[in-house]
Amino acid sequence: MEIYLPNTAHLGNIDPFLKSIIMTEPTKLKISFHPKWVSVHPVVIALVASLGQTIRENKGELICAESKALSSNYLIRMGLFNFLGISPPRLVEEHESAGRFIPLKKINSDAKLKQFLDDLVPLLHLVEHPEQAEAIKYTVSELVRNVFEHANSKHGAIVCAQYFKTSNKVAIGIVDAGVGIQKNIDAVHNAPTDEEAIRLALIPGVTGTTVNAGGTENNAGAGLFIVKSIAQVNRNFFLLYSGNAAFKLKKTPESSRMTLHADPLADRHSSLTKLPYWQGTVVGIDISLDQTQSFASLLAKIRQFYSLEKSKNKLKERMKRPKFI
Amino acid sequence: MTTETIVRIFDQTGEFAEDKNKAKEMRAKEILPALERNETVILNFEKVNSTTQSFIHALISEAIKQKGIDILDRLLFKNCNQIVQEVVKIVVEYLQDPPKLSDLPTNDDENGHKASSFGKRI
Repeated sequence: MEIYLPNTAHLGNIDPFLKSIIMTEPTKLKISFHPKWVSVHPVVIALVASLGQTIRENKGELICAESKALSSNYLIRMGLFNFLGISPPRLVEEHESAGRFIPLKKINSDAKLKQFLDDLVPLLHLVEHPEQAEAIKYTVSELVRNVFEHANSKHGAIVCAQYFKTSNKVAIGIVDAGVGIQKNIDAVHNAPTDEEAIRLALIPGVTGTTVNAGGTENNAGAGLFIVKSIAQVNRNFFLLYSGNAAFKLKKTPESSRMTLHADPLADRHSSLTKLPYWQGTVVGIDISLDQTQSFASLLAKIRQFYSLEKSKNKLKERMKRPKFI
Repeated sequence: MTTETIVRIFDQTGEFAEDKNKAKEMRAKEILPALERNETVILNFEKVNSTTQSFIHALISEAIKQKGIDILDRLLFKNCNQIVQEVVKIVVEYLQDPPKLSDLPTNDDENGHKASSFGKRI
């Protein structure tokens, strides 16, 4: 396997990076870097860490080129070299007070997830952004719990996050090396390809646990739809990559009216196919801190779509409402 | 006189109610048995800042599926902030009319797919 960390790979321009990964020779991993500057989304770092972990487990060979770029300090602080079990190219202060990031963590238990969620606000300095902090915590919780419940991943999820000042956003990467979406969804739905499985996984009401609409008592099949919707209503990117396909939600321009769809292929998106096969699932998401609307009003907007066409068929009027006392 | 059972969510989850395993526990040990005894169940979200759709679904969906939607007359939500209220509304509406794959159109457009009939503008 070979992976090259390029000059830049964020969700908007991540496609060439994904296509460039070489998955042959699964017992060997070569990592190299752009010589001058590496600026990558946390999902890229989590993805490299996951591959490195698999190699270490299988007692394979890990060859990491020397990173001379000054920006490799970022990779060091994010814990990539420690995670890979190799010496970092130089010493840096692991978490200086001005840094706004969460280094790589392996989350494989309720307790570790709780710790991560507790650390999230102080480490990303989100005290002054309580509404966005709630959206970010919501997103991480739903995505990591998806890994716990559906991925059958021996090591749980590998997660890291970073605040980017110039774009004023928090970027999150969550990666697992589990069974992948297609195996999960195809167990109960007809999903012959990774592309179709990803589409189904993003449709509300579809879960790998039952054919019944609405899911089971433990799974509604709505988690990914709501997380994608949080990105969409915030006009941010969202990436879901599994097997040899990926769905990338594009940013909705400020000039465009916001529209949510049950079918993700009706969203403004790009579908990537014939990608190097990723055994497991990769999720990247950006959450802008520019948004001034409350998380509650964002959820209210999503709920309007969630109730879908109910207003048309009069069902909504007949719906029983919860009683808040 | 109807007996009440109060379930204090914060005591089990802390201020972010997201642990589905805790939700399942409360459902199995407190909520369903109390409803079975014809008691009113009050889910008290005092001090809970936020929750997730998965948590609320795990907490209440089985009660609604077992007893019917009218169980909401004696399954009450107390001290919910705006976020918790919105998540509860999402789950309750969803349970009453979950989206169905068969409702999605199959016509092609430039992407090979047509906007779902579920699509709606805001």
